[in-house]
Amino acid sequence: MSRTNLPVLMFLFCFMVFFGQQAVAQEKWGKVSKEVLAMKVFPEDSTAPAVVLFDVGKISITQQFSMNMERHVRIKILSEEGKDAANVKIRYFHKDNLGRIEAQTILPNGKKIKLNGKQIFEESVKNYYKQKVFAIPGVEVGSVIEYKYKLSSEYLQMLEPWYFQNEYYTKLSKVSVSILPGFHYNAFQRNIFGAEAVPTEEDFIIPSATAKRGKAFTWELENLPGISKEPYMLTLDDYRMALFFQLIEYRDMYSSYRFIKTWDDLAEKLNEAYKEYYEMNGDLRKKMPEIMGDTQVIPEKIKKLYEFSRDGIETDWLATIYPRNKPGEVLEKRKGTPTEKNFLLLSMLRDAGIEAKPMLISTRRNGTLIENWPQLGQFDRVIVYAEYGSQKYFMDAADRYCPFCVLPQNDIVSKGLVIDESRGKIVDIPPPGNNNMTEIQGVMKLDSDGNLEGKFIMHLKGYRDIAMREKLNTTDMEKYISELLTDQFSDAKLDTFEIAHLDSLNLPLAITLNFSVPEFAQIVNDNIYFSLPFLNSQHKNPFRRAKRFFPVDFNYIFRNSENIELSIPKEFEIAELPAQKTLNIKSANYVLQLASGEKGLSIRRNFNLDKTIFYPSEYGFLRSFYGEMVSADQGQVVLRRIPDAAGN
Amino acid sequence: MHSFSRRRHGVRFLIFILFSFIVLTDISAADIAAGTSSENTDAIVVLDELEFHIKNINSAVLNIHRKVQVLREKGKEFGRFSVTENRYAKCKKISARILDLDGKELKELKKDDILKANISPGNTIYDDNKYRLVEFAWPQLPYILEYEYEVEFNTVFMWPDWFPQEDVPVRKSVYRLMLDEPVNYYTYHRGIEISPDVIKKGKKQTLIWTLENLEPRLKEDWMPPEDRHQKYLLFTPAEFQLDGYKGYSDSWAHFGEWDRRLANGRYQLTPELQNTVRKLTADCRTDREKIGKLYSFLQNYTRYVSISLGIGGWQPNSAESVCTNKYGDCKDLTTFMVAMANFVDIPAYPALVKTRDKGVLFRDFPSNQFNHVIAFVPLPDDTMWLECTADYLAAGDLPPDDEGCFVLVINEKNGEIMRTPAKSADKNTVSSIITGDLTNDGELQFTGQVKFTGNNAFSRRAGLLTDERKDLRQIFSTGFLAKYLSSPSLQRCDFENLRDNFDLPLICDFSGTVRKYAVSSARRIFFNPALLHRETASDLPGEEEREFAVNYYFPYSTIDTVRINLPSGYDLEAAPEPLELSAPFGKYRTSYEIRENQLTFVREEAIYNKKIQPEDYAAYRSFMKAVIKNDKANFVLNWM
Repeated sequence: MSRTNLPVLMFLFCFMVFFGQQAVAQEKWGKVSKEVLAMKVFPEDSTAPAVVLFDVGKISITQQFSMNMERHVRIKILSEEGKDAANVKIRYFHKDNLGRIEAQTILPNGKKIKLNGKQIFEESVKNYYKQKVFAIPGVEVGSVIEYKYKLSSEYLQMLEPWYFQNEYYTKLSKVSVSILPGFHYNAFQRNIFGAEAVPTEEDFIIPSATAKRGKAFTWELENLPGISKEPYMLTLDDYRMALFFQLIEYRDMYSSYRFIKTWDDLAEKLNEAYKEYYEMNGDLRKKMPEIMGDTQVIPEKIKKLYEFSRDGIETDWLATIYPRNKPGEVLEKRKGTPTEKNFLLLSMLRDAGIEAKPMLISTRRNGTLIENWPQLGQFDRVIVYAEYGSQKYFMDAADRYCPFCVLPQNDIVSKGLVIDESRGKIVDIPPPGNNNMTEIQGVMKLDSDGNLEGKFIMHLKGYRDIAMREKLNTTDMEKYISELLTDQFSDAKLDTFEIAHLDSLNLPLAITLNFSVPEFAQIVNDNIYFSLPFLNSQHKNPFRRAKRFFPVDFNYIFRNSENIELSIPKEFEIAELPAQKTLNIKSANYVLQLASGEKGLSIRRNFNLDKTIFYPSEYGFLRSFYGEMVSADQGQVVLRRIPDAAGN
Repeated sequence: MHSFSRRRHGVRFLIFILFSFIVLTDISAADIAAGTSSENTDAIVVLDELEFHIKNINSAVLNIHRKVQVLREKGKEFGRFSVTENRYAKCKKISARILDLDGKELKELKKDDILKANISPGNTIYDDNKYRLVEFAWPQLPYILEYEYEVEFNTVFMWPDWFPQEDVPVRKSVYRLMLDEPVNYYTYHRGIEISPDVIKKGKKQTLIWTLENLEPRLKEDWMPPEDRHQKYLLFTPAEFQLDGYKGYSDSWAHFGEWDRRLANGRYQLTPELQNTVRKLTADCRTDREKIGKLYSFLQNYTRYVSISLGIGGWQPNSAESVCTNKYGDCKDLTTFMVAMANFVDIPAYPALVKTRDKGVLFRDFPSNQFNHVIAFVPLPDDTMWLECTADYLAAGDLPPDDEGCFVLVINEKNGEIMRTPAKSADKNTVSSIITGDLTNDGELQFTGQVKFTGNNAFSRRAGLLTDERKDLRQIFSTGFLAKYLSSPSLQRCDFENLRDNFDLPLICDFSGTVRKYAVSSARRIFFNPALLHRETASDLPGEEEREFAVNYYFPYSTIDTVRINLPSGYDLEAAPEPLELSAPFGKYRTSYEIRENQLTFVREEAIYNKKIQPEDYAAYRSFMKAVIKNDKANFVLNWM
């Protein structure tokens, strides 16, 4: 999660008054029960290499106007592999202060081995973050490790997020947030439901102002399974139980400060910060006529400006919503982050008299937007929202393979925040079109020795086209195309290939492959056996696990179709064909059709997916659908020699 | 065959002549543009200059200057480079610019285009290297990228080598060595037969090696790591110093002596550990048994953690620190193991290794070629080699990357080259017996056992135990079993000797179901009884002819027996003919029989050597093609 450092936000904190700090009672450092030390196997999960016994955080605001978080983690090590839990990396915002790190190992016999201060290292990480790194010494299987630290930050607007789930099974995860009078924070919960979502509340006395009481809120979750990535699951954090805290108001008897409470609050502040990034300089103004030519048609102007921002500027794939360079500088450098490229586009569109606004999105890699949580840290990219007449344009100039008005795959999200001067509005982003398709036509001939030769023509559209273009441009083209073939026909030889429209993003990509597959079919006595000669079939079921706890996310809907015309040797006839197959589950269907003709065989395969998210309750159906499809795609054709042809 | 030779460059016959100051070779943009843009390549390295200016053995400056014509999107990768800084190397300047093909400057690198980072790589939890990262490109192709950087060294230990070839054509590559005073050094070369131009002025000497119009490196599928570079000139200083430790490269003994001094006084165990070691070995009757106990103790007592600070990249932490921290990297853990062995009066020594994945040690080129350390224990009956970072190995066994390596043993002779053993195919086995019932709709219910030995056991143990999914049944059923079976579902999956008894085979007993094992049609059932091992076309190198050997990770042998009870009412209509192939590099055999409606299918395969030499490639290719064809063939049952 990125942290704002806009001057306008920091300024508001300067007027805050002092309040006391709450004394925090922690789980006792170093006190581990004999039972825990003696534990050899964790009863709830006998294969667990390690178990987080507790992960406890206390968040509070100090009299020095800083946020403090004290965290104490204790882990039981149950196997050699579990020792990895003792290699700790704690990431933090570069302007925060992380200190008072202590760590120790408690051996099964109770002996303690402490981390030495010289064993703690600091690293700089990209995007304004640092991390403290240490390896807790003395770890043995059966031992308990624990570490604690204190994180201080002057950025009170966003408190440290709290993730309840870990890589390992977690017995207890608890976070307390102590709020002083006058402060009003909102807590946003992710994947926490029912009673667990409700914190316990407790008043506490502020030491230096005994007449005043603060309030502590505590969330406590127990017995949380470990969480790790699964196929078709882009952002693990979307599925972790988590809490986020945002300051929305401070009030005392003398003053009242309202922080970002609504999207409008946020837009007002952000609009101020963004103003300088709409500025055109002389060079950019001079460039405009060159880019737009003599076109007077507004949509055409929009397209040309988009294409210039996309192709004319190299992309630096840094995820941030804050441009560092103004449009003129981006033009000069010919390089910019996606956000900077989009501000360049914005400024040019505005200069051309087109109504264009920044739209903040949380890309798929960053996680799902929580709509009722007005928080900048949720976003990682600014795209462009423009309107002309009744037409709305959503543009991101980051990806050089995306045609006009097609957002990059990582941008396929449902909503974004449009900054319309001082108003912030959540706007729906239309889902991508249903033209994501792979159409294949194959014409091929099987000879009586079982050799196959022929041609595939592959047409790609939508995101299929974009993905293929990127591959062809950034890898060894011939090798990649050859692999497309050998992935399906392991012995295939790519004889020649042609690619049409590789450099024309507005025309669908077409690839023609001429190929041969020696000994494609199995010949036994008077029979020939072979599998269906598809270029795009499903070899394996990607959903190997019997159960799934998180949704399957396909990103976009698609259609795959493949039509094969296969000539068979004239001295053979079709003895048996695989069964026709139709599979239908909600929003996915598959059809396999075969027809024999005079010269051979016509095969048609269609696989369409009409929705992108499949929930765990639908997982069984989806898995079984894929299983059936794999089986159908492996269908076998049997030819037999025509008796006359054999001379009988 | 490639010739290898080693030359010693003396300085006794210096002739003092006037030499001009260095001017970086220039090639005009017009030269670059001429006749190149139509080439089917991602980029062309127009000029690659490396200048290493040695003032004395404790002061040197490296200058890199490159000019690249970027032609395709992939060629933009040439604009991504990094400069490493540490206690011994400081980057003094980086500059870069982009030109169009007419030589007009389009862009210049600015300070804020350079990203500084110090993230530790790979398995290292922390090192003190810092990196300056540059990503410099221009949106419109083609263009010319030119960059330079300078690094100051306070040692000549990191003397840069010359690798003039790239994966794209190189028009001109220059290595310029400038010596302000006589410095002895040695070189080692492959594919570079040229002599340098020598310019002398007083005590100063400049040597220039130049190669022009170099073809891209030859790439072949599964080529040995030692052949990835086909042209190189390696350098090592005859004398060097690192953090006050002076060393010499004139012999392995001298080089080893330097390494030995780095570890001086670091073999002491804490009193507590001394007691533990005494107790552990008290009942052992032989030294081998003692080493076995101590090695097992090492595996359980420590974990691999690499923290590399300054000379810590070469100097081990003390055995005492490993006693306390219970962690360390390869050299720390080896030091600890050696200390334990020595404590019970068993001689043991560290051995420096260039692991097999990095190539082969140049034995006649004493120099810093190593990336790993293991322990060597010369017992009277047999020697033992100990990989001290491996958690899943028996004492004396080595993982594939340590096998068959020439290593430098740091013993009383200071440095002695020896070779580690390598297990043969019959020691790296996978054997299985699976019995199943096939239904007429293609489902297979099965029970089976599979045994892994040698490197197969080592790899499998590591794969099972380090997978982040943790669930062994899931890892096994979606990994090893699912290579050719579609979504097997396991009811039972029990392991023997997984976390201990590493000298015994790893055994897995399992039972389960594959719902869509066979393809069934109206009259027929098609299935392939090679359930666990098959060769496919993707296992065959793409080349019709080879310049280099085909490199296997290790030799192996497999034998799989499958018994399938066939559904009643079906006859066997077709099956691949039993096949038996035997070659100097391997063997393959399949057989089957049907008795009382049960098909028994046996498949055996072995590859005897790690490398299939180019002269055997034609025979190997036909061997593999026959195997692939046989492994692909289905059994076909026909409804009677």
